[in-house]
Amino acid sequence: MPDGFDEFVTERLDRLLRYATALTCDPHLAQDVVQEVLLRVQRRWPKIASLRAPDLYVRRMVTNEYLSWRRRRAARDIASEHHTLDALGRPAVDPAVAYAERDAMRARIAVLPRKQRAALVLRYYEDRTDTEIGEVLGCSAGTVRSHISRALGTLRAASSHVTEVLS
Amino acid sequence: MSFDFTEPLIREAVAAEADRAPHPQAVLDELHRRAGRVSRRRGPLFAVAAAVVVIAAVAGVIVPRLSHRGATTGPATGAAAPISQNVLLVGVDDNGYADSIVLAHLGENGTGDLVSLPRDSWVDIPGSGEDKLNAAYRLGGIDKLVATVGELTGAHIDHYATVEMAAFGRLSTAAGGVPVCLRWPVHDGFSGASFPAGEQTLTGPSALAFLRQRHGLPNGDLDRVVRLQAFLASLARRLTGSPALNDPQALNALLTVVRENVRVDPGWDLLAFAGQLHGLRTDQLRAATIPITGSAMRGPGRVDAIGVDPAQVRSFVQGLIAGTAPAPTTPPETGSAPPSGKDGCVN
Repeated sequence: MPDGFDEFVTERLDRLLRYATALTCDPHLAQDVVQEVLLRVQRRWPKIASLRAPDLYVRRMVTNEYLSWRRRRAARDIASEHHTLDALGRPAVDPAVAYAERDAMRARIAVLPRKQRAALVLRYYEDRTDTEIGEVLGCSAGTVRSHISRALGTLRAASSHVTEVLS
Repeated sequence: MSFDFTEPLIREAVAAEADRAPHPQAVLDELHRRAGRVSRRRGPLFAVAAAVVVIAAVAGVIVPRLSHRGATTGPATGAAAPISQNVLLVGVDDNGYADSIVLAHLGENGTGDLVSLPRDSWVDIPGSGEDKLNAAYRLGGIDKLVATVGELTGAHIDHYATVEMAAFGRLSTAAGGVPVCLRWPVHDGFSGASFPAGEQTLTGPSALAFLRQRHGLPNGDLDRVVRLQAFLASLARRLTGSPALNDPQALNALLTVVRENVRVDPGWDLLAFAGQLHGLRTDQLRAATIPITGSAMRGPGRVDAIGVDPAQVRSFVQGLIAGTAPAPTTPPETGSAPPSGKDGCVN
């Protein structure tokens, strides 16, 4: 028998949740998004299972679900800001500078425009090619590169700024 | 310099973010919990099945029994002039919720229309304000549901029948088991379905599990449709052709199931109805769903409901009843299903 939905979930759920968490910077939202998407996947499983890359397709569904998550965005964004402030404030008490830098970076990534962050997570966490990222985001590989280069620009500017302040 | 520095830091930061992911078990539990709700949402299938059971029970069991005994006199039911009537068929799930709601219109000329009303339709419930259609049943039982559907569709509802899901399991037991044939062995934790390959006879809970399984099937829900068809065909053969029905005990068991799991309104002359069903031309049976305007968040609780436009619904149903509008039949869910094999076996 072909792979069933249950097997897909067993194999991929952990990775999918981690992707969604990196994407949303919010574990609760990640859980909601993945749940909603998997319920839809379940209903359309025969069709999705027959696709060339079901896994990538489900990534795309998760990403779209997040990008269009307007309803709860306002409330979540406040939470996300708290989280950002929290992360930014932590370096002072954190013993390890490396941790501080990493958390500061986390906070900066959390406030990137969503599509830029999605492209970033797909490249640096999922190690996807520009073409695959384009498939997930529904844009060309060129647009993917421009998202990533803009995100890198922002993050580099911010880190050099932080470095200046620290030194 | 900063290039080498930034990218590894991004990797680390994103990985740290990902580490905050919730435990998969939380999602699995939620999926499992809601799987039941999803399967109930695929309601029309069961409503049609419920209708078939009512029809089979009435036409196949009760009437022959009564006419055989000649106990009841009264109008010659077979010759009763068909009248146009609307019957509300309600499938009730194990938790007592109206799972599937179908308005059946039987025309004078032997035609029949089955109109599904999605249970999550956002409607006005007379006396209770706006809510999901199936809330009407929860709030005020079948009377309130009849009133709500009447108000929504503008159709006068002559009769109703409710069928409990459990009826399928019990009917198969009462019928002395329902023979089915499986191509593959299956084992599914969600529905509790665990069967070997080959021919077997299902009773009670195993019949229900057989009908509910959606996971682990090659074609998912489509396979479930085929299973239901095969199951009902087999059940119908049992009910109508089985010598077991000459056994008074078996017959009584069946009638008990029908009595306990199928409720009809007190004023319904089932004999006359059975007579009309004999004249029903199955090739004239059409299935449709009321027009919907999409899903939307409704009410103060922002619940996920299905939007309907009452004016559209009304003209749609009225058109069907008047026979003026060809039913924009939903692609029959069963039509696209892969047929069961030549051997009569299913996935």
